Amino acid sequence: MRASRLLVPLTILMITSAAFGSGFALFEAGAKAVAMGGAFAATADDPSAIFYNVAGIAQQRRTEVMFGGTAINFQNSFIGDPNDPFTAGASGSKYRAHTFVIPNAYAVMPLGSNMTFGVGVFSPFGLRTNWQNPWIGRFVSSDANIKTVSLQPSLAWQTSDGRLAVGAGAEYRRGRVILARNSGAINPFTGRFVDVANSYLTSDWASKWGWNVGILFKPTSTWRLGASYRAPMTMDFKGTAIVTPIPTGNAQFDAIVATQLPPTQPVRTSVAMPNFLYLAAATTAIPNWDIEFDAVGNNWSRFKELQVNLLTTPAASFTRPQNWKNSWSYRLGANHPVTADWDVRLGTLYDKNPQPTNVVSPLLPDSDRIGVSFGAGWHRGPFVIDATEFVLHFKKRSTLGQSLDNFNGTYKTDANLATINLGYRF
Amino acid sequence: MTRIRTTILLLIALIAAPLMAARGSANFTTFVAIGDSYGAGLESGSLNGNHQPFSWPAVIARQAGAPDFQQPLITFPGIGSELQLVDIIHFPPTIAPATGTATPININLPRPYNNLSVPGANVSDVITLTGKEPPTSTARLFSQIVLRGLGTEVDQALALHPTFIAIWIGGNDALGAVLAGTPAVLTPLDSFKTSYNAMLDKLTAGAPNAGMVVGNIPNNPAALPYLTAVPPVLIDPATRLPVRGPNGQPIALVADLGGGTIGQLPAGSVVLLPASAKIATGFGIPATLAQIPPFNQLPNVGKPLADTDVLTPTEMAAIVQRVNDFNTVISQAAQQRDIPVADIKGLFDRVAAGMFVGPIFLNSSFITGGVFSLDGFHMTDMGYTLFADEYIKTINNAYGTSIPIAPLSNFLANNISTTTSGLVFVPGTPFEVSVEAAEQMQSFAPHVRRTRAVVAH
Repeated sequence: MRASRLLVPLTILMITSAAFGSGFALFEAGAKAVAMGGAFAATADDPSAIFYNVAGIAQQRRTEVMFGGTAINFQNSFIGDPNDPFTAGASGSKYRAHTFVIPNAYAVMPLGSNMTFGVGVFSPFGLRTNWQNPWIGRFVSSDANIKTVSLQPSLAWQTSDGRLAVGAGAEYRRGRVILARNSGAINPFTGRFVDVANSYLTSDWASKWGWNVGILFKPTSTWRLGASYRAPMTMDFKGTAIVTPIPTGNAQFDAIVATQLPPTQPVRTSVAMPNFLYLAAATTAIPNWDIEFDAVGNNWSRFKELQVNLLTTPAASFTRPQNWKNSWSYRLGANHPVTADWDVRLGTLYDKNPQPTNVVSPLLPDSDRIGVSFGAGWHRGPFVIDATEFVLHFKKRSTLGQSLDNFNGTYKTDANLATINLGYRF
Repeated sequence: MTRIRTTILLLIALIAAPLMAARGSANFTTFVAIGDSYGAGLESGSLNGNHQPFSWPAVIARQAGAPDFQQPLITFPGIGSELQLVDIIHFPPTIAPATGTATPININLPRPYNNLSVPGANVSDVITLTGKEPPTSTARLFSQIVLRGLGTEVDQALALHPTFIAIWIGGNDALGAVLAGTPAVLTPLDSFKTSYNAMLDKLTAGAPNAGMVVGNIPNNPAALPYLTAVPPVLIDPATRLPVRGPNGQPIALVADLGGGTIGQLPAGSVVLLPASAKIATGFGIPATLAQIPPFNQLPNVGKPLADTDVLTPTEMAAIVQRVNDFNTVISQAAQQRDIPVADIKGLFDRVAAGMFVGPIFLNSSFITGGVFSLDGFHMTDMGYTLFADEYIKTINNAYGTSIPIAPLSNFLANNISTTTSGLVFVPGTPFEVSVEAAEQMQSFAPHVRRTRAVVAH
């Protein structure tokens, strides 16, 4: 607990995120798990089990602390729809160059012979799409930033023979939302479309309690089955909408615009975050190989809209329909000990996106993803080091002329994720 | 198997084939345009080089990569000094012509222009005017600059041995009646039909292998600010809202309804844009309001608007019907010659209804609508670009080409600095940092927190 008290504020300071699970779910909560393509709910043999399958900490019979993070870099581009009278011919737009870091920290401590207590800090959701200006999509979204950080005390119990374990956690999730975009108008003096204002919606940190449970069952000496469930949560955010006029170069027009802009004011919004359901099977039937397959479901159908309510001028409030679908991702991973100290790992995943075509937008241009990961683990005495390289390819996603934002085009995204975790076993 | 394969090949051929047969090919090696003031790129009452690059033929030429596309360029403020918005704060807005002297830039081009559009031209003009005529009309005046006595629009087009010809003509055959406030000056249907077919016959005979495209004519009165900017009811200049009568109904303006019959305008009437200046002096305001402020200050209260200032519903219906008939002629003439027809009428209908192009909301509002310029019936640079895009889409559909349409994002002023989103300028440092980095710095150093107030968004 002492470790967690130190780690939580550190993590909050570090937290920054991007969307790398389906939608804006994240699963980069531990280097070993990521190296196995995120297929870890039936293995769950390091403290990051607190995230993947809380029952897994029951099998960890030594006190251990572990912390680390994932550094993420994007390569992305937007290409205008050749048939769209606004975006045709547009190309080269991309996110600002930035390395995102998703931190994590865990501590587990056995209580007696069958029980383990653990606490973890991780980021289950996150999004950052911050486009370089002059970005022609800035009237839809120039910056979207959803951050979450969760603190989860957990307790797990296993049978004396270790064949069955169950666990539960109480998740205290904090989150924050930032949305920014510009407004524009035709300048009647020039006939050109000018930026007239920037709206910057920034929330305070909101918090909410949730729960999760897990089970781990070893029916034979070579097979493990795991399942875990993290409850959905809707976070309500309070914040401020800062509306800043942008000079157009014409005093008359600026004066008219100024009379029509809503003032800076309190704002409220909610973000529906889905559950996580892990269904996992692992086997050591192949000597010296530990292979796991997970199916991970998110009930993204909860994310029906993004509603932004302005309190001073309610008429300026807006709702962006989302109507996402439930989604599944499929993950396959392997761990292969090569020496007493070294393991090598491989993983792959296919992540089916939950986002309908007509709401694919610069705010979140989601798409199906294919990922390949490899990593290595080193453990000697009390020390554990895990490192992973994960390459994620987002399938090219076109709005097919259906954009509800009247902003059509094709988004291409690739990401490179490097994860490292350091652990110490007492 | 053979039958299946044949069927599949046939299906593929059907899918791959253009939607309609089209004469010639979409070869833009020598591209010429035949048209009127829209084709010339006339805007805000002026033909000048600030806007001629956005004439619909020029936009098509650019998008299709047509080489050496020459237009009769004029320096600013143009022929017909360009109208400019001077004051939009006060009511009514002030619009005034720019000052200066216009000069033709390439009047001595030793060959016909590619863009042969003559402002004011109607269908018969494109096969009769040569530029040698005395300047007794708008078309005759401009033909001296565009056609230069070298032959008609059609003759000069053929002299260039065109590989592709784009045509939009016929607007003035109807618009003349609108501007004059009477359907009496509409081009007779038979005359229109004869001229239109003669034009196409001559072009197809003279350039049998050239690709071609024509366009239909808008018939929606709500699409032109010239017809919608001035309401047919009395407006209170202080509130800019209709003045209400005793029963709460708006008070219709008074006009000569035709043949000397004076009366209040019936519902569905339109008042033409230039009449706004007369109304400001009292014309059209019923005599019963002559003693009521603020109208008692106006010298002409009680005097009717002229017949030429208004179009009654009957007159409007006659014009719309004639345009419909013109469109039938265009459709049939084009179909007989395998020429695709761009749906300019549809574009105007969409504009009249209001439409988003990306974040840009466009409609037919005067001054602010974005599509029509300050003269109320010629288009803006954005409007002509949309016009050209309709032609490009039609060409692509008919010829199976993929000429890129011209995007309106070209008209973003981009009056933003890089600090308008996502970046924060921290006073006292030479650096701009990300919002995120600023937040982290704030967390570590509370005294920096004040910089939130200067986030440049």
